[in-house]
Amino acid sequence: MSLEPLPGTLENLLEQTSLKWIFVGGKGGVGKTTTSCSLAIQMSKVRKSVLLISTDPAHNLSDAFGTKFGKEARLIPGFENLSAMEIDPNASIQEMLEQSEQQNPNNPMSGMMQDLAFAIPGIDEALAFAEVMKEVKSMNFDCVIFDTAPTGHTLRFLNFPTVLEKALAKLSGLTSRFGPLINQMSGMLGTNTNQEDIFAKMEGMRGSISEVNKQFKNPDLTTFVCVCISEFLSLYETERMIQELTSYEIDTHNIVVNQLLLDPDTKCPQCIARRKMQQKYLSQIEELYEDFHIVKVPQVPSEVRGTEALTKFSDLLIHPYVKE
Amino acid sequence: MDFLLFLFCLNLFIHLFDKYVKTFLVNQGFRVYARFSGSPEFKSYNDLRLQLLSTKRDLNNVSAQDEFAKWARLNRKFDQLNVKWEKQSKIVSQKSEGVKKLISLTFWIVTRGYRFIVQFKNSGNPVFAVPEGMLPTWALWFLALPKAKTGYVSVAVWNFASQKVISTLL
Repeated sequence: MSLEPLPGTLENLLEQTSLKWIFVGGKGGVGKTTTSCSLAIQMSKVRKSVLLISTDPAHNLSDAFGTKFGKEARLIPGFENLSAMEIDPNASIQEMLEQSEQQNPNNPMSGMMQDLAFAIPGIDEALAFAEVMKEVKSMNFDCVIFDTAPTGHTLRFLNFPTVLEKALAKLSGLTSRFGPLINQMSGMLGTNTNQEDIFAKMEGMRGSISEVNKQFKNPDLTTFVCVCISEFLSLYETERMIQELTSYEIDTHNIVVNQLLLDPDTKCPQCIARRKMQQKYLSQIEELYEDFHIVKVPQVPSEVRGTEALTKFSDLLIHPYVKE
Repeated sequence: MDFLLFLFCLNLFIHLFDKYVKTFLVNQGFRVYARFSGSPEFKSYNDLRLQLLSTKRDLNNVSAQDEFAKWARLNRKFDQLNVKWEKQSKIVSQKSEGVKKLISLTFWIVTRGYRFIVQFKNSGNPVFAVPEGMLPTWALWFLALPKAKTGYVSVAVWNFASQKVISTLL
């Protein structure tokens, strides 16, 4: 099979107008945030409105653009159709729990039910994510780009939507059966239970989780951009991630290889050695992922921070490197 | 006296067999069955296992650092085979459960079943006599259960006593 290698740019993402969700993921320190910001900038040139979301608790978007972002979507200064927000999946679930605690304090039953419900592994992330998705959907953005946490845990719940659904169904079945009993008992004890609200909430979540799932598995709507550097561990992680994504049926056909030394006439001995190593892994990447767009991004001398630097850098995702 | 020793040895043998040999023989018997039964489940299970092992060997021979592409391809193959193998091994273990039960049952009939037949056939025959005046009549009556003459120890009681002693000591 001798196919022409696919063009090494992210232009295919700009051209695919049906795309709604774009995930950018990879190991920590490979330039995920820089890549997702750059991609967002490029997307904003061809789309009506673009939202950039960071689910990384380390919150790098604020650093990258030099503006503080929060849980609400905010326009990035210097852009008219590009907004950003930063969310912390763990914090939002904590908030939700505290809220329901405040609503009905000194209610031992609801606390127990919550403990039971949140014993399902990964449910906190999944619920938080579903919450975010609900919000994002109501905001009506043309395209949403996720800057995922280094481990890619944001996607972990895609692994067990069915488990989750089953567990939730069981739990809600349980309450409908034992709810009256519990109510009676707590009536006798003089406390006031309304554990229904948390389960009603969960039922709602279940719907949105499965809907989100359906959308994520549709390659017309969703794609995942893998970011890596040309080193063994990064490559290894990327391979694992791609296999995982395949098992979740999430489309991925772009790999961004960052921090490459692309100048063939470099003189410093360290650069020559490093370039040699990078070229070795790069050729392996090209051999292994022949059906991917492999975007080679050169290492830039300075930190990519601020709107201007990012805009300049973002060009490298679309136009392949040419030696100056 | 011979009969007494024979029964004791029989009990000892059954005890030792059940404790040390049976599981091994059942497993061996199952392996022989799996090999010669020609059932497609076992065959594909074995094939998969061999493929899995050879892929693993290949994987170990390829340096992930030097030939990442080759290594990753092998790794994908290994993962795929592993999933298939696990699925197949579930099917096989379900099936093997039945076969193993059958083999166990055969062993049971040959050992304990044989003892039962001996006991049943000789239910009227005494094993040895209890010296007169040693035990009260009601105790003698018990020792002769179910059908031996009073004053003698029956096969059933002797078997029971032997089993108790053997299982306590060994």
